[in-house]
Amino acid sequence: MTEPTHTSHSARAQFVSGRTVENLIVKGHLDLSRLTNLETLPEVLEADSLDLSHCTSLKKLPARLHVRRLVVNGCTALEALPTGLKCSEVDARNTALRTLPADLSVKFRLNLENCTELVTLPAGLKVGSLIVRGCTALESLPEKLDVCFLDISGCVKLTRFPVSGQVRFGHLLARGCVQLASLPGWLTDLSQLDVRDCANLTQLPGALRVSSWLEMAGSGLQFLPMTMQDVQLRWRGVPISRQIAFQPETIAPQSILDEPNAELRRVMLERVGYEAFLKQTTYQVLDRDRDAGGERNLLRVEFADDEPLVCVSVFCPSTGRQYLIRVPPAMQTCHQAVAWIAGFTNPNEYHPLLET
Amino acid sequence: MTIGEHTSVFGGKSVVDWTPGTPLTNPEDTCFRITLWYEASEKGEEWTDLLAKFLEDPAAGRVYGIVVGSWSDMWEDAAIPGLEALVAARDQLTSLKALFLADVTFEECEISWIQQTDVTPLLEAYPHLEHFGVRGGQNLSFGKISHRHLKSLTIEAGGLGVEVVRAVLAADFPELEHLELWLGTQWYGATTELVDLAPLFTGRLFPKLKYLGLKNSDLSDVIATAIADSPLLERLEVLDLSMGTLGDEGAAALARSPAVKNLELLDLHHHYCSDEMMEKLQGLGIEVDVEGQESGTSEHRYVEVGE
Repeated sequence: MTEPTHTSHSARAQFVSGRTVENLIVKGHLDLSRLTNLETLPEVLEADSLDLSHCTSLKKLPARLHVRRLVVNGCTALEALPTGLKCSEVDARNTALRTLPADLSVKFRLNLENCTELVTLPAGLKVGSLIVRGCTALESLPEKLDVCFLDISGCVKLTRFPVSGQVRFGHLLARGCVQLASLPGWLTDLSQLDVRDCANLTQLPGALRVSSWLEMAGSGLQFLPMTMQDVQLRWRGVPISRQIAFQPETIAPQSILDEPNAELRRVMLERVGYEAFLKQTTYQVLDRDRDAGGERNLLRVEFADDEPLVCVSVFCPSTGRQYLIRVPPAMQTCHQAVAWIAGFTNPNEYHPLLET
Repeated sequence: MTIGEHTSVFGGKSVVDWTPGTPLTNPEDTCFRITLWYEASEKGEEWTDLLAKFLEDPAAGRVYGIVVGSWSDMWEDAAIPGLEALVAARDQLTSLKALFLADVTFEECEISWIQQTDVTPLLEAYPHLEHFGVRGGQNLSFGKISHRHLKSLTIEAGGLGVEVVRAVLAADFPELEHLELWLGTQWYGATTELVDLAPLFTGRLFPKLKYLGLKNSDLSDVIATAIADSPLLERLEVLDLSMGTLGDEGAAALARSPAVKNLELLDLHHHYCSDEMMEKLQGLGIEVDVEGQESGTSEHRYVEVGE
């Protein structure tokens, strides 16, 4: 690095006062965050690390930018990073980036969370941790992607993985990737895998090993590959057994009533289903009435050291089916419970003319 | 008591504080402690910035060990960014044999406040690592691990969750010689019970184990009693039950055990044994460390490092 032209403090003062700064060289960290009127920066900018977070008018970064760590989080007008950028970390969350330079080099962490305009990533992207969580326009990941930690949660348009690539040692967090129907065969070693709410994902690659845990609530997984027979399974963070995960129909209602862990008991109830559970359990009918659809019942099951299960059974006119919906335990009438489901805390205000 | 000083030796090599901007000297025989000091943190620097600078040294590929020091607000910010950066640095730290996570004193962060994480990725990313240590039991976890080269594993905590203990005992460490677990106290999250340690006492785990430390535990008496008659004791060189709540009951079981006499060292420092029992232990004909006699009835005994 050449001789510093400013301290972090004096550089910031120049920008605050609106003066033009040429060739900005700072030793250490440069904090220019929240300068909401800042539109441009000098063509040459060097610092150990640079914080430009929430500079909401900033459209362009310097062509000759030399920083180890770059923070442009919340630079909502920023559409591109300069070519030739080489950093240890880039935090570009909540920006308007659409693409990244093909020669971008980031060593540790590239955070692109909530870059909702982002459509592609450069081929051969290699970085320790890649976070594209909430990048809702991203349809694919680049060929020859090479990362250790990958977070693609909430990438709702993502349909497939590249033909070749690596995600190794670390985690793959893919929560809510609803279009994802498969994971690639080259995926072999992970510490953690989160496929929660990946409803279209029905199986995992045959050679995949996961050393710490697999989060699978709401996924389409029906079984596990042989390599994963002893992985810890989680359902919304609660460790669960193979039986709860894959054979919930074999869970005896009494074992739910006897389960001392309230978190686990709730997962068991959810997996078994309220209808199936109530069919085999003693319950109390708190209230019974009729509406346009037919008979309604408010049912209650006591638990030893937890709030009771209270459900209202209703008949749905549009589907012609009976539904059982859990409601708060203090509900006393069917009408009150149905009003609560419709969003009314005061049941006296709930008078539906017609239910569809 | 708390941890008042930084580690001076790790993995058999001396630990030196690395100063950014100074070239790495004698990297093959040194563990470098990388610490984000308070002043640098206040100026906006982060621990990973230091690691990036460290890796710019041309000798980084010859470095023997890294000791991760303080990383700013360790009681709030988890070890995750540092851990992920270390995993990403595996292509550059090609000679790394020793890694210690969170060598911090109580002045920097109390041991029970340190926010740890799942450390499995580090062990997976460094298959040639020989010495691994971690301080702090909060949120610490290990997955199912198989590591062909690990010789020593040290986990220091004021209270260690049983899940960590179970994961360690289920791991495949064929070369492990030194296993040191600070189990801690129930007041700071220790949940291990004697039965959880039973697989260890069978002697079937870790065929090369020479040193076993079940330290800083409020189960010292029952551990001592169980281990005194265990097949494991016959092949140990060092048994370390120090820093805990050992009293005459557990010590008597050790004193009665013929296998104890085969040890090179029995480390019991920080204990609640009587003068008579200390004398008996010192007469075993092996080296016995009974420094740090504490006083307290069995209901009022404390481990050395809790908070």
